[in-house]
Amino acid sequence: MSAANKFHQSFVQEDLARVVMPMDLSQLNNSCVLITGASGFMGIWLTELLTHLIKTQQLNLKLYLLATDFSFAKREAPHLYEQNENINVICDDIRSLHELPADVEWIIHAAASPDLRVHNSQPIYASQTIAQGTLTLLECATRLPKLKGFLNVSSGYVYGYHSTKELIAEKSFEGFDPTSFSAAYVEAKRYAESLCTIYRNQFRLPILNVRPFSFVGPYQSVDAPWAVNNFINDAVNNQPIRIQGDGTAVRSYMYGADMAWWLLNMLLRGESGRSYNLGSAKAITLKELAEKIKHLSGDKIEINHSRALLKSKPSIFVPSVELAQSDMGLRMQFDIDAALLRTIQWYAKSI
Amino acid sequence: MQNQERSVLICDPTLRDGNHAVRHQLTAEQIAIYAAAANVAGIPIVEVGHGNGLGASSLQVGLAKTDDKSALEAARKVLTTSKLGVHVIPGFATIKKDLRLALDVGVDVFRIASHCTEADITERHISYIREHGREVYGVLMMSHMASEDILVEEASKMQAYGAEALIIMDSAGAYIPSDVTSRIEALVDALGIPVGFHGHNNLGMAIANSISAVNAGATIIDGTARGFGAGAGNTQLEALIAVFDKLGIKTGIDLYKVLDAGDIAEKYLVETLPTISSVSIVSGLSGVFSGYVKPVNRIAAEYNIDPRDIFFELGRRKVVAGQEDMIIEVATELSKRGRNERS
Repeated sequence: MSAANKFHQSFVQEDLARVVMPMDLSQLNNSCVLITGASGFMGIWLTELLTHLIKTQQLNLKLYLLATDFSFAKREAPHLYEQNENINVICDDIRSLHELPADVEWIIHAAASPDLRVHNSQPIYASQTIAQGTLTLLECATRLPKLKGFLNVSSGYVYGYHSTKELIAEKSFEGFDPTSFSAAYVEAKRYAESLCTIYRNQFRLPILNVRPFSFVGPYQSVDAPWAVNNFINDAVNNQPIRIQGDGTAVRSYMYGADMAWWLLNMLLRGESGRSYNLGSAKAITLKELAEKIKHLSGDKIEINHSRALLKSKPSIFVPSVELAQSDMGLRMQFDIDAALLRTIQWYAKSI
Repeated sequence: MQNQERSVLICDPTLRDGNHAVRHQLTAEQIAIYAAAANVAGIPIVEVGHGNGLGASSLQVGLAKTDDKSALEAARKVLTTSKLGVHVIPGFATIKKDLRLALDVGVDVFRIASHCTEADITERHISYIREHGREVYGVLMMSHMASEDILVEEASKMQAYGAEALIIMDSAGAYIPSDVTSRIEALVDALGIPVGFHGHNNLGMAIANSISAVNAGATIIDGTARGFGAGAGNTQLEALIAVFDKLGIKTGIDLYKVLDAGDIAEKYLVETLPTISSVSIVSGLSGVFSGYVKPVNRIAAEYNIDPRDIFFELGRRKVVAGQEDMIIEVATELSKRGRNERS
């Protein structure tokens, strides 16, 4: 293992030690978890968390990791896949899945790319992976004899376009034009949620939905097309941070380690049939975000606004997480400053 | 909207689109002279290179007199406040050979272009520039060939890839103002990045179209000194700045100095001032890329046929930039058809 990989491993262990709270994990002991989309940001963090728990809590847990391509994951986190007897990698396309290992008891279904580039360039692939992939997985799940929980990872985008300052709660649905060009991903996610509801009703599968918002942290591709990644990439490369528009768009960010811990809690403790928002409720404008990243990077870089002046359309994408907090008492351990600082430290070592 | 205080960012492709007008024969010395004048005038972005962009010098679309490195370095030396831009068509320009070179020379703004229905080909180039921290715009060429909906789809792809602005080009000079208004409005409404317009003057509409673009929400406008560019030329920059001054649209450009830059361009760059010739009008009407005017005229003379017939046939076949080989094919067919009709 290279020095960089050793750094990655110990860095993530520190983060996980900070987020893991006392919890009864007996349900997980001597069981088996399947993660679909296991090679992405969410999948790698979940794998890190579960292997961390195996080691620190002496859990006997078997993991099945399903994805079409593990090259990114194996490059970024080789320690997870090398000589790890708890992990079974399944390289397969979820759309063509026929059956699941019979010992699977828990499923976290995270197979879908959140990358806008994929949605726009390959909308058929993107929507098929979600719609057809979810249907296939649910069919397989009906034949599992010991299924205890099925967490469907949906998207915060299912709520439609929001421009008011209220946090988006689990019932805050706005209209969405299904014929618009950008609808492929969102409509597929909404359909996947409907499928989960149908299978829960007809087959009594223990399913719940989680709707992720925005995240930051290790294992995100540095060229991911989101403002926070671009700003951090600029900062660690000592380049000016460039803000598109007037910087008034509002977002919020949850750190990867918090995200993984919340997901596990939702799987084990969430109420079947419910949908939970996943993310940070602490709103921040892109302008403030750039200022923070500049400050955390040592104040050596400039912030430039696009010279083609553009007044941004009101855009707010911040969840209310009251439901997750009241049902499970979840709290974030990394506030925005800590999350950004850790991410900058990670990329500064990695790039 | 006209009375509100508005600003636009001006991009000046005189030293790139103008290269079409002189068969890509601009020298490093000419480039340095005009770039220095543009810099003094405060033009925000000066685009430099072969008419078809980075890496395009070839027998097919014309060999450049000055290689990319020399051209970019000549401009880079004198552009102290203006940004140095390049036009990039994936296929002509490769990442390792051409983008890397441009990054090393110090290009500030990369305008990655594709035919208006083929934005997919720009993903790797746009991503590469974003990763390297330079400004990158998406450009949809020959935009008259696509509907508003298609342009929005293709532009959305470029935005998703990381483009920080989106420019539509009226490469054939085929638009009238209502065409520009509907397209720019659709793009401004759908995108979250600035939208721009690059006009050509085949139908005498370049300045009117640029004003329509700004009124519809565009915040980036292209113009060249004396309209130096392909076909009937581009939107004439000096006139554009004067009109914008009159309309209260701020550009940050010094009017007298941009007029001086126009004089310098006429003296040092321009062989013949662009005019709206009969063939240019036909190019605009048939919707064929303005850069075809010179090769069509040359080949029409060679085959002794009417260049206007070639343009209308090329328009019927919906040719795009880069398909210049088709001119000879069309000329050959028209020539045979003419002989058959006579015999």
